[in-house]
Amino acid sequence: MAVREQRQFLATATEPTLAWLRLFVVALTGIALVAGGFAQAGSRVAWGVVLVAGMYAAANSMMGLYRRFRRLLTRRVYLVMDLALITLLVHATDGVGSPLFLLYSLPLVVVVLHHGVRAGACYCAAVSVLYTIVVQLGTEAETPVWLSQLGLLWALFLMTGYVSTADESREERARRRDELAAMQLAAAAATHTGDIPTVVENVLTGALGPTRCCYASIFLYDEETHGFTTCYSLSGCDGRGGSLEQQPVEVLPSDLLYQVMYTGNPISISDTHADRRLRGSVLDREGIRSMVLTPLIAPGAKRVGILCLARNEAHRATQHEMRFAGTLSMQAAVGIHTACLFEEAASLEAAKEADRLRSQLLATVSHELRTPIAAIQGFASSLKCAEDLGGLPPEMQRDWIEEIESNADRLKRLVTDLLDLSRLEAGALHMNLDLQDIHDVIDELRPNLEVLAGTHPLVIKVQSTLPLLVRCDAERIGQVLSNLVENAAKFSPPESTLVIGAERHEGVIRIGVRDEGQGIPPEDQEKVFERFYQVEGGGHRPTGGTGLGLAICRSIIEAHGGRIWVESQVGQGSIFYIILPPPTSGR
Amino acid sequence: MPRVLIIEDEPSLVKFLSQNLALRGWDVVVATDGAEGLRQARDTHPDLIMLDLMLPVKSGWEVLETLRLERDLRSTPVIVVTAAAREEDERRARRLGATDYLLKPFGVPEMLRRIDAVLNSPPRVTRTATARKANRPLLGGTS
Repeated sequence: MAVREQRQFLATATEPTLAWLRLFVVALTGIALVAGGFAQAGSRVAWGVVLVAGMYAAANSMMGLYRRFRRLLTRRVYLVMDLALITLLVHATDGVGSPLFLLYSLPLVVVVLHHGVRAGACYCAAVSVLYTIVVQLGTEAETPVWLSQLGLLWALFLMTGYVSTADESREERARRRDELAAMQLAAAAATHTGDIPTVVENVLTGALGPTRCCYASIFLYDEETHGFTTCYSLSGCDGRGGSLEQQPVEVLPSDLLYQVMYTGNPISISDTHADRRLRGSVLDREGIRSMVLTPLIAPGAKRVGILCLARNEAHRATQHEMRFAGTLSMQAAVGIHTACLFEEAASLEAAKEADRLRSQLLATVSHELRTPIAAIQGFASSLKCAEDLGGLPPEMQRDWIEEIESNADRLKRLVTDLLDLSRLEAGALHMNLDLQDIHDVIDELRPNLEVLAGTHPLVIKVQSTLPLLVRCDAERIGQVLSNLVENAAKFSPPESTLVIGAERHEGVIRIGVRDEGQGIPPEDQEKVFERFYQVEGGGHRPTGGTGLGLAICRSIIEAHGGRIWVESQVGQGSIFYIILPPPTSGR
Repeated sequence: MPRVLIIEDEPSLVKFLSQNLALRGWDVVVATDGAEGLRQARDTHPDLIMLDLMLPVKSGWEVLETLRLERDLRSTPVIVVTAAAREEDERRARRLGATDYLLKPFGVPEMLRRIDAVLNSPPRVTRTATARKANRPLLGGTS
């Protein structure tokens, strides 16, 4: 595990860190050399080597040579310089017997971990040759020492090589596992949930894991408008999982995204600073240095969008990474396409349902309109045909004319109610909201309500200790109360008492209308507020109602931000409750 | 004196149908819901039934279905009087055994003509497609 961590460190370490490492190496050798030089009364060669080492290290790490002469001083050149330095040191100190030979192992570890086993072998071979030459040129060869030193070096190489390979294969397996998991996630998303953001989030989360990218996004393409509509992005830098962001995008026609979408070929950009294709693109943003763009194309050559996997460092995508991105985007395209189809199907279904409801409503309205018209036409034609029968009794004639009148009146109310309701439901009916005291509202309505109650005694119980202020349209609330009282009178046995009450209840104003009718069964208590709904099985079938009263009441109360409901037990009467929000609640 | 049973829940229409038919010499029996209508039909054995479809307690459809299953009432002519204007409603009513389908609104002459046509057509126990076609009167007119 330690090696893996070290490897990670080396892989992510920036160039100055390596330079400091070199400085450390050189300083160490320098100190050893100075100590040895003093002991041996200083040889010129030794001092020269220390000088070279010092200059090399200083130039390397402090003056930023590496960065300035990046082209010239590559890692390989550095390696050669390191080797030369160490060899010089070894030669200058003690030749074969020098303990500084161990310094050769430092670059070896770096080379194996950083550049792989093959590079390590090359390094070892180079060191062997170099060292042999030096040894042969310098002190007389002590073959056993020389051989054991080289053997030690090769043994170290084998060890680091083994550790590195084992580590690599383990890592490879882990990455494969992550990739498989990502594929599975992308494929499963569409079957479990039918909505696009979830599918996209699954794809992006899966993509960030195995690729070590810090930023993944999907640009959705709309085939109808031929443009990109939405960008979903997920940022996972520093190993922390961000949350999915969704934002609309505007992409210029010259953008690279269109090129990828239309050609269908993936594009890899290894360094955004050096690439001119990205100029003016939505992809050109802070913190992104390299990226892979793959098109999402669903079955039937349907363009779905672009998958973008980006890093915050320059990186040339490997063949394997490109292939993974390609496979993932195929999977993602199918998933997103399926989700789109799901959504389309759902909206079609909803439209069909709305259509069905509308035609049903139309049939009901037509039925309700035909009934009074039938009475009007029927009585009119009865009067006309009465001559064939040789005249009618005058009271019957008058009765028929009255029938015509009352049905015409009913028709008029029905049309008014229908119009009111449709405007209320469309939100087109204006409410004159004013601060009102419920006391005043009910007082003003009292004569009207008493007429509506007819033979029923009407009791009004309004909490009188405090003003019951609400912001409401007094006329509309009056309409609601009149409707409720009219209903109550209609459905109660004659002479039974009707009660209207108003009070402050849990911070809101509650108004109730109670009757002693036969009650409403629980399964109908919600339905009575629907248009044209009438409780089945009632012995007292209402006469002259339009079937719209309670629907209008509900719409009016909801427009006030309140609520209306009924509490009732069969055989024990009903109470219709209204709640109106107090004026402080912002309406 | 021929007897007619009117099964209708709308008071104005009950009044219109019953008074007009009574003036023209019918013995009128009225029922204001489906269950009562069936009971009256069994008790009074009318010569003609005028049936609304939207009725409380038991809908007109149920009444029609039940009537056609009863031995005594199977051949009694039934005129469906309704405001349900959809074609599929009419098809369904005829399939269930309605003799005629009178769409509201209608005038007195039209009503009388339909009643005459129904009463003067030969009684049918089994209904075939050709019989249905031959007996089908003009529909939908508003007199």
